Amino acid sequence: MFADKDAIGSEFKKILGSDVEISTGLASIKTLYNILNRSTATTAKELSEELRAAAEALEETDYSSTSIRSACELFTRFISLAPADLLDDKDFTTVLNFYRSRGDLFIERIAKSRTLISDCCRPFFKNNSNILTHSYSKVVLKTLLDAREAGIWFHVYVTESQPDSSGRKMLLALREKGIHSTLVLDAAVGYVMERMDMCFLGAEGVMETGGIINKIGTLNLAVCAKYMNKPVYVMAESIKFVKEYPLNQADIPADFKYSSTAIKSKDLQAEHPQVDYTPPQFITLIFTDLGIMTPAAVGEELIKLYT
Amino acid sequence: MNHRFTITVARAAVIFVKSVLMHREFLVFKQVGKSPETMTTASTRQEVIEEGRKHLLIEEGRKQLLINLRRRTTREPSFKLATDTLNFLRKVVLHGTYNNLEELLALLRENGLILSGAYPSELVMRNLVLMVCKLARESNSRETNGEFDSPYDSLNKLWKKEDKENQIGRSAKTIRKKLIQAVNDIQIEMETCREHISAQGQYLVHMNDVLIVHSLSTSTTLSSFLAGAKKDKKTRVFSVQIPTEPDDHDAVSISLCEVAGKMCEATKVILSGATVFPDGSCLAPAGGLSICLAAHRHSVPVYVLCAFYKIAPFFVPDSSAVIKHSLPGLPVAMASKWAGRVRVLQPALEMIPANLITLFVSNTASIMPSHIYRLIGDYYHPDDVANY
Amino acid sequence: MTRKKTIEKKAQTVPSDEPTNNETVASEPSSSTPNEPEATEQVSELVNGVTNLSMTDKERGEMDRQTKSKEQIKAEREAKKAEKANKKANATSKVVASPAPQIQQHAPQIPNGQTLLSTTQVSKLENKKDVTQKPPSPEPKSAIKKDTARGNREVQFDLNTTVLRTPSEETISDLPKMFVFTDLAPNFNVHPVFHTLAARCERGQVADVDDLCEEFLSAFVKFISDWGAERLHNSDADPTALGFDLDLAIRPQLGYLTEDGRWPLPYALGNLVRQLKREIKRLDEPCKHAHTKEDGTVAAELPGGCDKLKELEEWLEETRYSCFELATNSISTHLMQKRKFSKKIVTFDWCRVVNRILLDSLVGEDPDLKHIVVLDQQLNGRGVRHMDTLLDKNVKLDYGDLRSLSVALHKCSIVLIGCSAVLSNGCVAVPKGSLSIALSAQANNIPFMVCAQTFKFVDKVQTYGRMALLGRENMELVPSSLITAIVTDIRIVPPSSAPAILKAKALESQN
Repeated sequence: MFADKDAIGSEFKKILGSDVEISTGLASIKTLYNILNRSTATTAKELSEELRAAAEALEETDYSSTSIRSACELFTRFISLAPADLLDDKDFTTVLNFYRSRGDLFIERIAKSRTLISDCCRPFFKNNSNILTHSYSKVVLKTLLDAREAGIWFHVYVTESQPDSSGRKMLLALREKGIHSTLVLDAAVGYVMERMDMCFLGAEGVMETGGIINKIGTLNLAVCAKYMNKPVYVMAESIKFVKEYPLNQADIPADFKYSSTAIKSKDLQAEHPQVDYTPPQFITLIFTDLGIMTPAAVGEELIKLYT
Repeated sequence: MNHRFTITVARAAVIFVKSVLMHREFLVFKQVGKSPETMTTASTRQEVIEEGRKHLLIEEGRKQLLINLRRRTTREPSFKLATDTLNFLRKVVLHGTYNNLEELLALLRENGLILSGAYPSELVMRNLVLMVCKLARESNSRETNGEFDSPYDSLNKLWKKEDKENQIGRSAKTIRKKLIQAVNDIQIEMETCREHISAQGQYLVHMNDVLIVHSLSTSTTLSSFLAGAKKDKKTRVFSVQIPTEPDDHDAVSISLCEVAGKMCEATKVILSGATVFPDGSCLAPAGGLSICLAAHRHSVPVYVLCAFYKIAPFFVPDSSAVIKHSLPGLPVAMASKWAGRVRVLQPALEMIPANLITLFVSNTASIMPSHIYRLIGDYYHPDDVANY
Repeated sequence: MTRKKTIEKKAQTVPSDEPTNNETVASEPSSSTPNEPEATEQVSELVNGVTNLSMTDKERGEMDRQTKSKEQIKAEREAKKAEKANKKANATSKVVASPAPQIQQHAPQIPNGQTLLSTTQVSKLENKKDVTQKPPSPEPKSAIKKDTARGNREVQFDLNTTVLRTPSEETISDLPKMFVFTDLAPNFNVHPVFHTLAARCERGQVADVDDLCEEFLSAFVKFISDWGAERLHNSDADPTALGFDLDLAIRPQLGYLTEDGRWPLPYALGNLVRQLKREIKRLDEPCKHAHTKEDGTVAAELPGGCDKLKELEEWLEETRYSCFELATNSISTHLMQKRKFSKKIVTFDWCRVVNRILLDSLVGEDPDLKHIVVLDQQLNGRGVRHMDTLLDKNVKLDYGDLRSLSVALHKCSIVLIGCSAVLSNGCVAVPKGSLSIALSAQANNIPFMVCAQTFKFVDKVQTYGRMALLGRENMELVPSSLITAIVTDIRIVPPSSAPAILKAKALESQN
């Protein structure tokens, strides 16, 4: 099993490496799909065991554990919602084939999600506006690029987002496409906030509360924006909906906050968290491929899915 | 002599009439896009004429609607506009030429775009067009698909969407019939919504309440709501009026500047809404924002009355594009001095953010602002909204 | 006289025919039905006001009478409703019937030879007659006494009535629209200058508190010179009691302006008056003072103490100069530093200081100020005065009322308004409607600045409520949490430092 785990992990990393644009969630789904394709399981239980083990292996990699967990959970649930008569079939291969076709559909659907989000968001852009964003988010990047292509002019302020300076990556990507952008210190968020017109954030996970888990520093930005009456828009694909209910910062599950290697080896007291939780009252709207939602709607969606 | 004269006159008349008709047919052909030379058989020609005539009817209906809009100088209750639009749309459905659902939707969309292009500030028209589109889809699919929940995407329906592609399209005739029926249902709902809203008044307004209302003279929904609420109850009503508006029955008139001061006495604020957006923010007559801010400061609940046709499925992020400015009301002496140098601001509407509103009172139920999006699925279809 | 008697007799016979009629007739003077007596009162006051006032125009009186008649109709309608609700038997018919026979009686008795325009006017007059039929007191005083007993129902002379109140409403803002000059006798002690001042206030010719204070000061200067001259002729005036006498002489003037203390002066003006009184007291201490001007001892020798009065006049002039000219200049200078980021300024209502500031910002080649929005309580209100001065400057001008607030505040740099007083808890008394603007400004993160000269800082604290102003207007109190800064002639201060300014002023005046 250990060998399998490593193999799964490396496959996952390969998928991630092959396509720069792909999100961690989608990559994990593709990994699971590959496992499903290769699967030789003969019962549904066996298959779900296999998938669960694979999901665990994926979570042990150092990538965003929130996205991975939510994507895997959704994938498993998605494909297993098979009509009852099909499950009774003695021949498991038909079931497997059915699952595979479902998986295909799912992946196809998810691949389009960023475009859908970008379309949802387009009417909210105003010409000559100042936009603040945090760290590096592929969804936000795609939205901004599409808006620029549509001819809207705006100036983007990106926070540096330490400890890994992922904001710089975002800045480079934006500048490459000709969007005026400025790098802003994390500590300077309060200082620039009065000039901003709106804030765009990505999310690593969307919680049942309607709040989000995102790179550390998001909460500061959201609180400042709320005080100064600036709207905060979150962009997240539907695969990022997680079935968790954090009550406050301390209640975030440890495997979201820290990378898995850190959990295994280091003393967590001394470790800096990588993410923080932004409660729903600081978020104006959430853009997903399912449409534009208020934070209150997210909880409903999750209830509909998981019951 | 006389006899021959009358015959010549009659013949001339006939020729004249024929030529006029021919000319008309020619015009009709031009509009429809077909040339008379290609028409060979009498029957197809008849069809084309019919088409053209219907097309003209639709165009005239639209023109009439737009002319009526242009005639208005002040904001009228939306109900009239909604009924007019619905009548026009009914005409489109009745007289339009289409063979299946897609063509019908295209036709509706085209007309809708013309209307909203002419008057982007009247969102009710846009809402109704989208509503009729959804009803068209419904009437198309009603037979084939038994279950009938919200067409909007949900996580657990991500795979079901694909199944709907292999639906059998109904014939245009059945669509038309069902659609007209549905449109009539909507009409009835619109006509009764005022009463339903008023009926909720008695639950929302209690004894000894002090209410602040705004734009009482322009909103019939608001006045009937108040009338229903005040029955057998002792309430005091402060009505925020500008001095030039007509005075009102039972309410004490106060001006907008006094609202912030009077808010300490008030227990409830009731406003009428022009349009409601899915996140719970709404467009209300100008002056509403000041009242809501003062109410927020004093923790006074704000109720906004909105009929179902005012709930829009789309967002308008740039409110200045949608807010219509009404005619300036300055005396002539001012106008002569200021002409061209001073802009007099007289917006008709204002955007009120969702966090200032406590409850939306609609004809079906009272809704919290954060739950408006749920109603959207009842009335609109996502594809229509996306493509508009 | 006989005629009058017959009228009275007839009036009494009519009621005797119908017992309930008697009730209604008698009820008018006493206050059983709440609405009718107030109507009569108002009318009687109107009539009294007309006869007593020396400075109001006749035309205004006429027009007011017509507006009054509308109110009279409304009041009568209310009375009818009230009676119906009380389910008095035949109440309405009696009420209608009661004026009718009396009209017929009194038709030939109309005073002043005025023509009958409408039955309502006649009924008004006959109501006046009813008042005169009341037993004891003489006409004018009875009405006024009733008024004080009732509280706040007074006659309104203003043509721009925007608020119609039903008589049963008891709201906080039940302030009189105008004060009635009642006592004829003390008028003789009041200098005509103050008469004109009061009249101008009523007519709305005095635009804001600044103007009011300035006019008051100049009026006072005139008064002193006249009084001084009079005193000079009066040989047995005691020179050492100059201050004391002046103080006594001032009291009736001030009393006249404040209607016997019923309505306090606007706080800023009150400040000035207090300072003035202090100065006057100092006039009685010739030797203790170290005069910076010429020999102060000479003053004691001159008869009538002319020099001292001259000092007072000089002091008044100096105050006036420092309070208005100098202060406005320094306020403008302080704000000059903030110019660079004020591209769009929104202001409300008229304030002289704000106007000066705006004009100063527009001086120069390429001023930073590009866009000015003037808001008003209603269209064609006092804010129009701003526009007249700003028309030809190269700046974009917008005008609107409170309904256009959100459009006006869009992309605004600062909101700048004037005030009539700054209280020591940091609250600011501003024209009505400014509170809405302050709330919106806070919601949009726009700094809300108030201009106030130091003489407007008052040592009073009032958390919320309305204040009376000589100009008859209600002021609003904006709490200090909504204000970003107060610009004074000393420096720009946060609103919480109001007591510090007061202390600084007090120290200054002691030196």
